[in-house]
Formats: sequence, C-alpha cells, structure tokens
Amino acid sequence: MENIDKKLREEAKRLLEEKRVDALVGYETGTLPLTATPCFITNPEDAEKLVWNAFCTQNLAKYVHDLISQHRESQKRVKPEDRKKKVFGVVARGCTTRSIVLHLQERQYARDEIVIVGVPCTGYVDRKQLSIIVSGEDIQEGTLEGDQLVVKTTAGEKRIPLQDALSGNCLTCKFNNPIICDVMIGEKAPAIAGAAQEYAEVEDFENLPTEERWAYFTKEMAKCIRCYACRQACPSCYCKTCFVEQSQPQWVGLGEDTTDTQVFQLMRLFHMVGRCVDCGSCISVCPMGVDLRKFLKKLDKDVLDLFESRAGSSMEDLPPLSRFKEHDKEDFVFNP
Amino acid sequence: MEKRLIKKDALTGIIGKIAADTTVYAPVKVEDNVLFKVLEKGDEPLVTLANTKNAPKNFFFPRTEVMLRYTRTTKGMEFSGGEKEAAEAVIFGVRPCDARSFVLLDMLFDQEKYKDPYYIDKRQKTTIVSLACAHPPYATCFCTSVDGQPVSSAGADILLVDLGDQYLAEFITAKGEKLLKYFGDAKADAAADQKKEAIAAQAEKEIKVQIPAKAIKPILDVNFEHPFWDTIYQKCLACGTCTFLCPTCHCFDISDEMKDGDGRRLRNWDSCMFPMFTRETSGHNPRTSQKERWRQRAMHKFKYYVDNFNAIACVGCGRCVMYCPVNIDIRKIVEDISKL
Amino acid sequence: MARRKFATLKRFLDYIGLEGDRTIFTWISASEGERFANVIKGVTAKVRALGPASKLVKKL
Repeated sequence: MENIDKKLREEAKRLLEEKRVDALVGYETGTLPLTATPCFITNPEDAEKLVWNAFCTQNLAKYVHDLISQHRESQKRVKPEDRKKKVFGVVARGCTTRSIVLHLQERQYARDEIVIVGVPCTGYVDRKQLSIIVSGEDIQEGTLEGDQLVVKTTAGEKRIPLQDALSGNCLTCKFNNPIICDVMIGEKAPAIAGAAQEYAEVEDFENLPTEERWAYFTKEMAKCIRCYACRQACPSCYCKTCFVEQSQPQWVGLGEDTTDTQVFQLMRLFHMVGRCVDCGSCISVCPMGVDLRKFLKKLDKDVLDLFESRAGSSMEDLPPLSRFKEHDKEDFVFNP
Repeated sequence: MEKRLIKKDALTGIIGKIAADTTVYAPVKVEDNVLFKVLEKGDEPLVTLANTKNAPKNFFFPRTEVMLRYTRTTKGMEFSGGEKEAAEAVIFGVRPCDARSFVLLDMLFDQEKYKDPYYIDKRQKTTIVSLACAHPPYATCFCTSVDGQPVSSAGADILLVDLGDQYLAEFITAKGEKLLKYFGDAKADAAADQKKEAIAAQAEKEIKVQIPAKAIKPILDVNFEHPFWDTIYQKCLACGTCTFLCPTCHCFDISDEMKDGDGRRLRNWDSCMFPMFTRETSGHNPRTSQKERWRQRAMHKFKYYVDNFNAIACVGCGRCVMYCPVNIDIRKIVEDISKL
Repeated sequence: MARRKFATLKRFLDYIGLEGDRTIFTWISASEGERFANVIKGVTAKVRALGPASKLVKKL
C-alpha cells in the first residue's frame, strides 16, 4: 500500500504542477484511528497528504459534482468573456467511476472537466461492522498489518481479519476496478470472490411473506433520524432541492412521524432505479445503521433482470429509465 | 446530602424496582445501537456502557413535539393544547457530560426572558440518575476542556460513582432524594468519599484530549470574515448527524400539518447543517453556503452561547467527532481557531 | 419509459411489503370506453377485497 500511496502522490503532484487540474479530490488520513477522510488539494506540495487504503469509504464523485456545480454557479456572475473553465481531479475506484459515468450520461458535466485518477480496490472497512466486532468498545488505536487489523480498545488488543470488517457491498462487488480513467495507479485489483452471490440477500428477502417484509421495512425505517446523511453522501442524489425540502406543496412532513420517514426513504430509494452504483456511501454514513442496501440492491437486481442494465457500468449502458425497448416486459399490466 | 453505598450487582435490581413504579429511560442495546429508551419488561439496562449513541436531550426537547392542535369548524378554528402533560420519569445512566447538557439547555429554555412550557414541564418531572465516568469511555472525550468533569454531579439529581466493589450514590437534589427508598440503607462513610475523590482525580487524568475551547471566544469575536472559514466546510456533507446526536444543539423549526380540516403545529429539530436552515419565506437565505452554516455552528457553540449565557454550548461528549461520516473533527477546528 | 418505471415500482412496492394489488397499471385509449369501465370495476374489486390501506397512511 505504501507503494500505491507514493505513486498516487507523484501523479497528483504532477497533475497539479502541470496545471492539468485546478483541484484534486482524494483521501487523507483521518483524526480517528483506522479512518481516512476526503480532502481537497490545490497546492502540489499538499499531495503528500494523499492516501489510498482500506479506510477510504466515501464515494468522491459526490464532491466532483458539488465542485463543478458550485464553480459553474459562480461563473454565472462573471462576464461571458471572463468565464473560466475549471478541471477537477478525483481519486476514483470502481464504484466512484460508475458514479462519474452516470453523471456524464446524465449530462451533469463534461468529460474534459474532470481527470480521473483510477485506483484498484479490494474493499473498504465498515466502521459500524468493526464496532460490532469489538463489541462497541472504543477503538483507541489501530493499524492494518497485511490482511489483519490490529485494534486496541479499552478491553485490550484484538486482531481482526480485514475481510471480516469489510463493507457488505465490497464483499460482493463486481466493479472493483475503474470503468473509465485517465491515469491508473498500480495494478488492477483481482476480482472479488463473493461477487457471484451479490443478490443472495435480496433473493432470500423476496421469499419472505409480505407481512414479514413489511415488518422489516418498518423496523429499519424506524431507526432513521432524518439527518439526511444518506442523501447527502449519495453521488446520485444531486437534485438542487430535494422533494423533502419543498414546501409548496409539502410532499412529506419534517417530523419523526413513522409514515413521513418511510415515505422519505421510499422516494429516495426509488429515485435510485438504474442509478445506484452500490458504493455503500449511504450505508457507511448512516449514524443509525439503517439497512438501506437490502432495498437498493433489489432495484439493481430488477434493472438487470428487466432491462439488462447496470448503473454506470459503461458509457454505452445508458440509464434504463431514460430509454425503452419495444418488447420490454409488461406482464404486470392489468388486463381484466 | 444523603449518601448510600450499594452493592454492584444490586444496581440492575434497583432500576427494575423504580421501573415498576414509574417510567424509566435507560441505555438499552437496540440491535447494534445503544440508545436511551423506555425500560420495558425484559429490557436489560446497561450499567457498564460507554455512552449512548443518541443524546438524552430528546426527553425534554423531542425531535418532534406537538405544540397545539386545531380543527376547522363552521364557527372558525378551534384550538386545543399539544401533548398532554408529561408524566413523572427517571432517566438512568446519564453520563456527566450529557447531564451537564441539561444545565446548558436550562439556560436557554428556562431563563428570565423566556420560559419554554414544553421543556420545563418535562424537565421538572424528570429525575436524572447520572453515572460518573470512573474511566472516561472514549479516547475522544474532552469534557474537561469545556468546564466538565468525568465525575461530576452537574445536572444530575443522583450521582452514582463506581468505587470498584460497590457504587456510591449521592442524592444531590430533593428530587433525587425522593428515590432514596430504592437504594437501601447502607450509609456512605468518609472512606467512600475519599475513594470517590481519588477516582475523580484519576479519571480527569485519563482524559487525554485537551482543546483550547475556552480561549477561542475573543478570537471568534473578531474573525467573522476570516479566510479560515473557507477551509473547513468543503468536505462537509451537510447532513444532520453532528447536530442531531449533539446533547446541546437545540435549533428547531416550527411547521404546520393539516389533513381534512384537522391540523397540528409541530416543533421539529432543525440543523444548521441543512441547506434549509434559516431560509426565509421569500426563498432568500442569509447563509448561502455550507461555509456560513459551519461558521454558525462554531460561533453558536463557542461565541454566541458564551455571549448570551457565559457558557460554551459543548459538553465534550465527542459524539460529533466519532459519528461525523467524513471525520470533521471539532477538536481540530477549535485547535485551528486558537491559532488564527 | 413509463412502462419501465411501473415495472420497477410495482416490484419494489411489493418487495417492501405493500400488497401488490394496490398498484395497478394498464393501458387504455381514449376510445376504449368499455375497457375503461371493466378496468375500474376490476380495480375496485381488488382494492375492496384488500380493505382500507393501513400502510404508508399518515395519522395526524
């Protein structure tokens, strides 16, 4: 990993020095043990901060979208002849590039406004899962030694296989290498062993009786505190004003009402049809541990099954809800 | 002050007995989260927990509160009160940092200029049983930097201190003394007091993080426009995790909900991190970006609250540090401000 | 594209545990009066059989 950090820093430094990018979004080491956090670099010297490891969780495509929209917005107040284009670099693993592909397909920005620094990925650590493994004890120190996490908690030192602490979406990931990129750092990562079982959980859930599925949905949504971290972290959730925040009409109440929370989540989830890249960002940021993936993965499965499409899997695979085929399945149509 | 000694294994039983007579909120493991919730039959209250994920402010200042209800009639609108009056309750297992948050919230909700009836009603009817931190549970704890102590009775009606082999129960207020009957009759001696003092001193030493929270007020006074504010907000997701889990954050938003002529007025938690925060009816928002919102958060905690109430609106529990999804660390922000 | 949205919506609502018969989709042309009547009869029969909705219904 040290080697990959070195290459990444060199590349980032070069991109900034050669002015090929105005700013670069990457990850730096966090202030808590075993964490990395998004960082924004404009000064070539700061490239030394960059890291790429199993603690880099967030899908940075979200920030790329934010930065470009903010820049474009700021240019509206500038005389047309003085307007400047800005190019943003981004450290991107497989799922991040899927989001970028989706943004490009949805015409959010142009390909020449971004430089993609591709990185191979073998999965990231799910902090909530890690916390469960250490029985909720405070993690005071931690290091990654090979494929083992060495974690020091109030209860003592513990060695945890990295594999056990990886995020659920990473364990069944089919897209762990960049789909598109301008520079690739390091060798491509090997395929993930569990990828063949990616829909196993969804299939199990589908087989439950209706009321059990509803009970599960209700239980999970009851955890939600409406902090909107899921929405905010999601690269596909880029509406300028979310329907939750519209007041004329008000689609959904703002309080802790059960139905309001369910409706918020339901609507957000359904906006992800053919748009969820299974990056796990919404799940990793959720402070309450709502099982959103159970529902998002279903959308992914249906889109693959019905329209043979997967969000952002290639530039040619266009968003399934923006196109159709004459013989799309219509066995659900009611014909009395 | 009444003081009692209780055996360690007796504590759960005592909580159970109180719960049989009155509503008790206690830290309970709910799936993978430790949360404050109403203790029901079969629930196991956690007595050796680190701390809960949610702050206990919810009991006095709920995430959603019905302020009033109304019905449209042929004679005009008819109004009725909000939720019925609060019942007597006991909150068990509040850590001293969280207990101190009640002292801070009292300054706002129960002050000379304004008395919040919803908050005060519940506050007066609730007894706080605090559990001192003999060993501060998190490496991120920084209560001593913001006028707190790991062993402190501020905001508590009863303070429990783990003396190793038994608990020392101190009955701080008259409200606390009402629960005296549940705690047996083993009066505490001077030795217990001494032991408590030693534990308190040791616990303070165990807090590793010190931040200059009290020194930054004069810096904030003169640096509203400082370029520093451009550097902290970029990675902020604008979610409400920090403010919703914070024991002292108390911004709210009032909205009406109507259905078929019946309506209710709600007070919901708001968050300065939300783009909707302080948006005016016209659509204009004086805080145009996350930069202004982040400045508001820092200013509110470390300057405005000090201006208004001479206290920092932070208890050092570390929840925002631990649960911020992108690791925006308030400790580092305070540190950086002190160097401006 | 509407068909695609409905195909996924119907499956999804069923998946989270709503009764499948509450989401009904069909094609009716403006000239198909009789078909329209039959569909509505069919829909009301299905919904009546399910009874009042209790899920996703907000009570003030």
